[in-house]
Amino acid sequence: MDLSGFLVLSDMDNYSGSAKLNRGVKPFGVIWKALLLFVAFELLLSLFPGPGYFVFKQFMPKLDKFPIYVVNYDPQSKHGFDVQNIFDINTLLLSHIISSDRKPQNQYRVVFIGDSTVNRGDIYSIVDQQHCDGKILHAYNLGYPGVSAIKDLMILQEAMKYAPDLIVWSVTYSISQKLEGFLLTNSDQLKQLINTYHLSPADYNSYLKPQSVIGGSNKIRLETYLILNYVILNPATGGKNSVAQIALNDETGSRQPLDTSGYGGQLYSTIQTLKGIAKGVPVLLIDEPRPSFIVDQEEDVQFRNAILSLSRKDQLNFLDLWNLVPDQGFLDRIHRNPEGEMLFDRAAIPAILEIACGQK
Amino acid sequence: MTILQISILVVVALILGRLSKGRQLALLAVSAFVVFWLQPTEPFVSLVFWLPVATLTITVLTWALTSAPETRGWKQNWSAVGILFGVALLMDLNRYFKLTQVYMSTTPSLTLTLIALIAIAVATLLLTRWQRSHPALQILALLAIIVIFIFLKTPQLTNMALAYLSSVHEQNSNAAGVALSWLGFSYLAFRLMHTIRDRQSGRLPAVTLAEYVNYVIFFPAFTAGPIDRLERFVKELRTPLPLGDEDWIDAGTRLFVGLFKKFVVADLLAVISISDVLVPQVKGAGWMWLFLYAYSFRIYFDFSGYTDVAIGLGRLLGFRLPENFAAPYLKPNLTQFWNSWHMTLTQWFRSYFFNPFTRALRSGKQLSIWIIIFVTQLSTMILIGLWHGVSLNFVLWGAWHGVGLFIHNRWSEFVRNRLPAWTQSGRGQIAMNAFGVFITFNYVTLGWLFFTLSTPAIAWQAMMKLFGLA
Repeated sequence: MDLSGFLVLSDMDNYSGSAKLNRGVKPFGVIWKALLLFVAFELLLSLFPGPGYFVFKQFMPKLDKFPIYVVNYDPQSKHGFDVQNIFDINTLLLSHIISSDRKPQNQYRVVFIGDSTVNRGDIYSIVDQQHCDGKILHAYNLGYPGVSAIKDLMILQEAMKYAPDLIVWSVTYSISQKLEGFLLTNSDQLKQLINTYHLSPADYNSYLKPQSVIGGSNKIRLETYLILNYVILNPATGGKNSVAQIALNDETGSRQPLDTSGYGGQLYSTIQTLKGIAKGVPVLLIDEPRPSFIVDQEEDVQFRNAILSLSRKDQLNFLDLWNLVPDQGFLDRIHRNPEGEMLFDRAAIPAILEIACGQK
Repeated sequence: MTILQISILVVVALILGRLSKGRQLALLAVSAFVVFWLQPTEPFVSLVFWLPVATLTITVLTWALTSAPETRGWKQNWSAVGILFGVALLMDLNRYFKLTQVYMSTTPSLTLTLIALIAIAVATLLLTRWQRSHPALQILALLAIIVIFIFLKTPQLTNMALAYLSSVHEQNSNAAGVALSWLGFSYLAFRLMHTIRDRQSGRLPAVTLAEYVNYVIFFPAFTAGPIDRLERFVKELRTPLPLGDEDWIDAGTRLFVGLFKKFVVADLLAVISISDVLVPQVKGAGWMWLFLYAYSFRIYFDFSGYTDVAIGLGRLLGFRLPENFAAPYLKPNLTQFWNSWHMTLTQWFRSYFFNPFTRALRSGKQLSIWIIIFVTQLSTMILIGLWHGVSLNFVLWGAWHGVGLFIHNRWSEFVRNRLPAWTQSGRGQIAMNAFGVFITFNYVTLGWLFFTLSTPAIAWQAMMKLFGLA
């Protein structure tokens, strides 16, 4: 009777893993060569375009919003997933439809800049394809989460390469968020902004670190994660990357204020920099609706008055919607629910069209 | 373990492996430190200290229960006692050193720790005196280990305990929802039970405290195996294998391959592996199969990667640890799969459950052969399932394999001498082999549904989607 059908007797000491090597191979020689190869590999990879190049340039259709997050594996987290922000501006713009659209003669480009309220909002889809004065409006959502003026200015600086005709910038006086990762990842763009528009370098020195040359494999890693997310996870789950949403719901990381990066502090230099970047392209500043229960009411009034005064002086268009939406139109202190969004769209779209259609 | 932790351990192994004197004690000190260092964070911080202390305590007490009389002398063991005492105290003293990158600084008070260590020492001393006349203590020890094991692996029980601790400590009751994680206990339990059983059957070699504790908490294999045997391990502990140039290369290759398998391949596959989160959202059978296959390869690369790292580290220390995997997904039947997957675990179960149980059934009532085979295979695989976790899902996973093994056993009997002639030709055998590999791989892969998904309901939903029935 063969009862060993389950397990055959095997030799416990069955190690047979020794590699068949040439005699004379020196271990430390191998280690040195391996280290040199690794450094060479990293240097070579660092010369290649930023992460997302192959995914968004070669494989993927362009997106109508920035791909903010990529899901990756994290055994410590509740569902085993973690989300990692995509900070690299080049990757963000490469993934966006604005980088692939050639601009025909009769196209009027409207770019929407701002934080997560812009990124999540739908106003751009309503403005898109509207006609006025023989022009077709094309609207581009370039919102990226995080209440940070410097972040928005850096994105705008890069977006100017795509010849926008109208810049719509949603601003809000709110507790600013520390976007250290964003600033550190894009320190080249930050440096350019500081140097070109004479911003105070002391405020940003900690982010102006020299780029690490040894980081090529990070590009490969992020590229691979992007492929896994956008080629597999998204289509498999109906295109919404709802896995990322579930992981985001678990996110409990706190956000720390960074006053100098917000809209409240250094408003004057922010506006001057904006004008410099826009180079005559019309700008519509929208002071976003806010719920009545937020704190800093007095500072909020000061902010609105200051931005109103500066916009008049600098001939910027300013639409003040701070008290447009009632409290029940908000999900939290910043984001609006569908009813709130509808109110916002109804107020903002006519202002946008007035500027767009008023252009000759 | 993280890559950084593994890198540190590689450097340590390189140093320890070169020691000609004091190697055993140095290895003991490092292994004891690693037990504290790698203990995961717990909802109650004191457990981060007391669980490793419990690990060392159980190990020392089990040595006291199983040690041969000639190895119990103070002269032979004082250094090991001193080292274990010293490591525990040193970790406790981090409340003053505050090296928080290494270990937490919120350790218990020194007084409490000293009292506990002294109590453990006294208990050990008493056991070494009484063990001779109370072999029942060994049986009690076996049962105690099993009870602790069941407790740790049953979520409902650990949740109750954590909820109780939460109320006693007046901490946030949400802490009760967090799992209790006793580093390495699954493997610790098997090593201890092996020594107790071998002592009972008179097969255990005589080992000192240092040798015994080194075997149980050997740091390369502490968290994820392989499960070695004391008699084999202690030979290499006493006379380490020489480390020539080719052995260096071999060890380095195993380490590199292991790290690549675990931190590159397995972690990337983890993003697209089937999970509770993905199952309800996946649209289409094709995607579902992709995610399931991804999991199938992920668990292999993850586990075999850790084994490669353990074997590589062991080699640097002068040990030749047993292999755990031998291309399991390329085996043409389930029997061969289980002779190639987590081999040290199946060998343990063969020695301490399957064989004794089979002998007992054969010597008892006159059961027919196929009933004996069915009962022994099914019960063994269910126990292996329960070793992973006490829940219905793991029972189903074990039963899936138990039934599969039985079917293969009966099928092999049935087709013996019945296969058509073409299957005996070269091409025929290749074709049969390929077909067998395909069937076996897919059978094992489907079984992973029960292993990785948290409830039978989700596993069933996934199964329906896989075959287009949902």
